Order: sequence, then structure tokens, then C-alpha cells
Amino acid sequence: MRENKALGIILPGGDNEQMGVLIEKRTVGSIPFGGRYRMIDFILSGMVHAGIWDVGVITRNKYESLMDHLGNGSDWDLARKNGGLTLLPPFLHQSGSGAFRGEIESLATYQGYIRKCEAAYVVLANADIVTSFDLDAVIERHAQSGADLTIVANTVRSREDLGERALVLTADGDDHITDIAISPKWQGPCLRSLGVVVIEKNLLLRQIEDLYSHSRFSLIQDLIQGRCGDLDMRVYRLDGYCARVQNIVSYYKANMDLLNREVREELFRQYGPVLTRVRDEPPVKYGLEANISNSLVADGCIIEGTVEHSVIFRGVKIAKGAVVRNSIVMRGTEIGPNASLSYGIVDRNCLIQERRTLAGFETYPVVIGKNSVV
Amino acid sequence: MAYKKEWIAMLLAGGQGSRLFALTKNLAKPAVPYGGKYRIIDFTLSNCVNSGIDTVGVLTQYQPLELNEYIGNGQPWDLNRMNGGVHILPPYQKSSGSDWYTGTANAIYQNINFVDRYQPDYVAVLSGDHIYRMDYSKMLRFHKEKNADCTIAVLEVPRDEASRFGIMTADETGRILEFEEKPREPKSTLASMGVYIFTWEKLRKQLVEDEAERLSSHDFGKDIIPSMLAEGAGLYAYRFDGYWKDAGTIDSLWEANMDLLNPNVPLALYDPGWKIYARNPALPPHHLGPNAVVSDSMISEGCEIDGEVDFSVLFAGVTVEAGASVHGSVLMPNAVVRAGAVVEYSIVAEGAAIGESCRIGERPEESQNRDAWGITVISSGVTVAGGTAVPAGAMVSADLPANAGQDAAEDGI
Repeated sequence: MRENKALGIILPGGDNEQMGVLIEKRTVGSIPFGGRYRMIDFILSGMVHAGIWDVGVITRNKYESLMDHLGNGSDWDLARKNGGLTLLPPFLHQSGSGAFRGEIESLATYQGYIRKCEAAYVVLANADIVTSFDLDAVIERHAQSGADLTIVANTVRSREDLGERALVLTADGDDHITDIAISPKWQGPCLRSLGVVVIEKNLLLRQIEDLYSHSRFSLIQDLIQGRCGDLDMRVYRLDGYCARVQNIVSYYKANMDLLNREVREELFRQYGPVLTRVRDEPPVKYGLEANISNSLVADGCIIEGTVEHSVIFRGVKIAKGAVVRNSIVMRGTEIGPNASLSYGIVDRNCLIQERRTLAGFETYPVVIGKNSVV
Repeated sequence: MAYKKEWIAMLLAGGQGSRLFALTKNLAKPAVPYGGKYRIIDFTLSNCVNSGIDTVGVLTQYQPLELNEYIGNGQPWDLNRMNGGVHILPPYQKSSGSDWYTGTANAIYQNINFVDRYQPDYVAVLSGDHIYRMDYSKMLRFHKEKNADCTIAVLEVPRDEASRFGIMTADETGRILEFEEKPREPKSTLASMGVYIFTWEKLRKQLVEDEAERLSSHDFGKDIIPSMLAEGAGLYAYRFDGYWKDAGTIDSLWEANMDLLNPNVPLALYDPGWKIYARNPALPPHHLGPNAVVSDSMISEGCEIDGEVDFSVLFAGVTVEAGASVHGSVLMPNAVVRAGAVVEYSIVAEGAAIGESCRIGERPEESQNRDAWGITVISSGVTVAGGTAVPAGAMVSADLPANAGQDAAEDGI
């Protein structure tokens, strides 16, 4: 019989107001990223490459774009008879409220789903990380170490990279976690949780039951921080490229990081491809006067203007004389003739009309919401 | 038992495409890469799906491995269906021996049982070799209106090319009066596109009769159509005036790719209502580096470009290093052009690698010998060592080690 390695549960978030208009109508997991991806694609692909074929995605609100993106999971090879991709939306239960009060409540609601899966382990993950790594090795290490819980983390060397609401771990030489703090005072390089946790399934179920019956709903505060002394927690260190997208600036920076060849090599090739929804766009067409340098351009675009140091999503049109610099332009947006955009993030299906000029700055990119006409 | 279908399609994909030489050494013509991200067969398969045909039999024979793998369960074309969907139909062993497909009609004849399972009223017989966008449902409507036994899609071709096609004459209602396969002296310029819709009952009877005919070559154009005409069956010509290309030679394959760069060519790939579907390689968007100079080109996913690319079509995963220059060329998936190399008017097939400072092909206007000029072809997987010059019109089908430049000319055809 085939061995079911682990159950994957993704918590795509949705209430990070730091992301501004980018999450007005979507979850963090469904924010478009890197020209053709959504944030959730990184962890989802990581799970698929680790041989996890049971993945539940817990949604709280604004999950229409996520449902649209994931479909039946076939683009990740997760349209299966047994297992595969399952969306776990909130439903009305005894507490009377439709929306979940916290991750523990979501997990408690779906205890049946978790129990039914025959895997020995559960991988709980956020959908705000940009990284590719060998998740299989993490599960393997967790199983061999005999730990109760393993948290994937990387070393952060600058205060800016740490961001707000970061979970900072203190571990000893044997990778035992001794303390977990949320955004402590900066004291130099530290270990930051990437929001990927491996735990034995039955232990998770016992913990959920216990926490839920005591009205404790927060995964981070009540389970991870709250049980830090009681459970044997270990850290799994990643030393490759990792970015956590928690506000507009870190989102902008992570996109621009893709213009670095080594980063692309590591993210998209070293650990297998990052899978995403297929849209069957034709290749990009560059006009006679196109002028492009150091940019990432996805399929379906028609480019006749100038593009420098930018990330251009699928199906974008950039007209003659238009200049796009240091910007992120999402799917279906049109930049009109002689328009100029610099340090901008333009969401989907916008129209920047002829000769309009928009400019932000590296630390404050101008963000144009979905379907806007400038 | 399968459900009844109003119509199904039978797609002839057994063609060797021998005039594509090295490009079809290991794969059938319908599997030849085209247009930056497609295989030729994607156009016919997508036309089927977009026209509302959900059951397609693909008849394969020559080098089917790559084609079979490419089509797989049909998911990219939405042809993975519980009932119907895409089916690969290779020749198979029967209780009384086994046969290769001896002709296009024989291929359908050998699969009569497959067609019968769906009890279709109509069968579209299509070729997997051609590049065009066509709504077969309009043709079916025409077929029904005329109460035809067979409808043949036709287009006007230049008179000097007419003898390469099946040529017919038709009256003002579209009824076909005469049909000649590849006539030496064509009587008209109305050419068959190799797209037929038959009323299945009629075709079935015709196939069985033709099979019994010992002198028949079991070919639609040579045998089935002429004998239906002779019997007085209702054959109609359905006019098509869009873009259609038989990329059957190196030159026409190159041209068909370059046509995509021409704004006046009406093969609207960017029409969201009529997408051409293809199997997707799951690569990141392409990256144009700081030294890249790109114009008048089509570039697909996963490419890493830091050199000059002009008037060219680049497939997924192509690398063009800094200082390299590509002009008027087609670079198929995962081709690599190293620093300082110049590639002009060439087709570089899948996974071929052009070493540093090579000179591959040349521009026709710079050629010393205009008559011998042609498109240069580097076959799939071939490595051309640094510094090698490969002349215009050469066809390289094995690795070229260093200092092999002169031999390359002799390899040409």
C-alpha cells in the first residue's frame, strides 16, 4: 500500500491590513506574485514535491479569488480520487458564528477531515512565504528526532527583513526551541519562523481538542507559544533564499529579488518547478520599438514600450512610448501610449491612460487597486 | 457502452513529415514545435474543443512516443472526459493478423468499431499537420443545410501551387463537380485543406467498400472522394478564408513561425475566446537581462535572454547569453546560444546547444551564393562546439566538435 506521508493544511490568511488594497478582495495566499504565481503556489508546490497528496486549504473570508485560482487542484496534480486538494471554508456550527475566531477553531471544525486522513503527520503552513525547500527532508528529520513539533525557520540579519509580527525563536545547539517571542526588541541576527510546522497528527488532534474546550483559538499564541515549555519543539533551519511577505514593501522587494538570477535558479529550478494555474496564454510579443532590460515578463503580454527592472504579469499590454521602471504590473493591465510608471504596483485589469504619470519610491511604491482607471 | 454523440473527430496524426528531415527524425510531424509554445497538433485539437467536439480519436503510426506522451490524458485541451475525450489509436493486432495503417482511409476503416461506439451522425476527419484556426461547428451547420454526404473545407491557393493540393471545381451552390488529387494541370484554384465532415453512415459504407477494392490505395483524396463523386453522392465545398498553413517543409515551417510576427497575418493567437491550448512546462516568466536587446520577436516562458534577439521566435526555456545575437531564427525548447555566437535564419531544434562565437546560418542579403542559400537547421540535442561556422542551408544532425566547420557544409542538403 502506498504510504501517505503527511496531511498538508494551508492557512492562507486574509486579515493583514498591511497589504492594503492588494488584499481588499483576496487572501494573502491569493496575492499575485512573480509574474504568474499566487503566494500560495510556493508552499503548495513544496507539499506536492514532498509527496503530500492530501492538502486542505482553510479559508476564512474573501476566498473567491483563491477558489478561482486553485480550482479542483489539477494544475498541482491534486485532483485525486483519494485525497487531493480540499477547500475548507467556515460553516455554521454550534457557536453560531459563520466566521472562524481563530485557526484553532478552524482546525477544531475540521477535526473529522484531519482524523480521516491516514497520514501520521500534519504540516501546517501559512501562505506568505516565498521560498523553495525540501519539505520531505523536514518531515523526515521530524520523524527521526522524536520531537513533538518542528518549526521551519531561517536566520534574519537585518531589522527590516524581520518585519512586524514576526515569530522569533531561541534554540540551543541541538535545535531545541527554548523560547518563542513575537516581534521582540532587535538584538542582532535571529531565527525567524517561516510559518511551517510539522506535528504528529494525533498530538495535533489532542491539542486542538484541549485548546478549543478552553476557548483558546490562536494557533500561534495558544498552541505554539503557549505550549513551548510543555512540548518538545525543534527548529529546522533553512539557509537558502526566503522571503516573508507581510507588507507592501516586503512584497515589492520579494518581487524585485526575482530579477536576480541566483534567486530564480533556487526558487524555480533547484527544488522542482513552482506549479501554478495554467492559463494558456500565447508567448510574449515584442514590437519593433520595444526596449526591455532586466525584467521578468510572463506569457500573453504585448510589449511595444520601454520596461526596465520590472515584473510584468500575464496578458499585460504596454503601448508604444510608455515607460515602466522598477514596477510590478499585474495580469490584464494596460499601460497606454507615452504613459510613465515608476516604483508602482498596479493590480489586475487596470488601465493607465495615455500620457499619465505615476511615481512612487522604493520604500513607498504607489499601489493602484484592481480594475482602476487612471 | 459509450453515449451517443452527434459528432466526433478522427485526427490523422501518422504523418512522417519527411520533408522536415532532421526535425522529424524522432517525432511525428504533428508533434513538431511551432509558434513559441505549441506543437502543430495543438491547433487541430484546440479547434475541436473550441468547436464543441468532445471526442477525438488520434490515429498515430510514425514515431508516436513523443506524441502519445504529449497528448497524455488530454487534460490540457479539456479532453479528459468520463465519456468521450481524446483517445490515441495506434494500429493493433486483430484475430486475423495485424496491419499498419496503409492509407488515411484505411486508418479510419481499422477504427470503425471505435467510431461506432459513439453512434455519431457525423464524423470530422482532420489532419493533425496544419496550422489554422477554424470553427468546425459552422462547417457542420453548412453540411446539415446542404444535406450533404461529405463536406470538404477549401481555400483559394495561388495557381502555381495548386498542383500540390486536392483541387476541385464546384457550382454556385458549393456542390463539388470534379475533384483531382495533386493534378498536374489544375482546373481551378479551390484546394482541399484536408478537413472533411462526413455523414457517418455514408462514410462507413464507403470505407467498407473501399477496403474490398484491391487496387485502392485507401486514401481519402485519391480513392474515397473520387468514388463518392462517381456514385453521385452529395459532396460540397465549404469555403474558408482565414490563415492556413501546411508547415511541411523547412522553409514553410520557418515562414509559419515568422508569420506570427507579422501584424497582417490573421492567426489571432491573442483572442481569449478561441485559445490555442498546449501542454504547459510550468516554468517561471522569462527574464530579459541588463544587456538584452529584444525587438520584433515572440518569447516564451522560462527563457533567460541577455543577448540580442530580433525577428525571432523563442520557445520555452531558451538561453541566449550576453554578446550573442539571434536574428530571423526559431529557437525550439531549451536551445542554448552561448556568448558571442551569431545565429541567423536558422531553426535550432529542442535542446541543441550553440557554442561560444559560433556563426550559424546567414542573412539572405549577405549571402555570396544566393541560389544555394537556405534556412540552416540544427537538430535536437546537437552540440555545436565553440567557434564553428555552419553555412546557410546546412542541416546538422550530429554533434559538431571543434574545427568541424567545413564538414558541416558537406552535411548540408
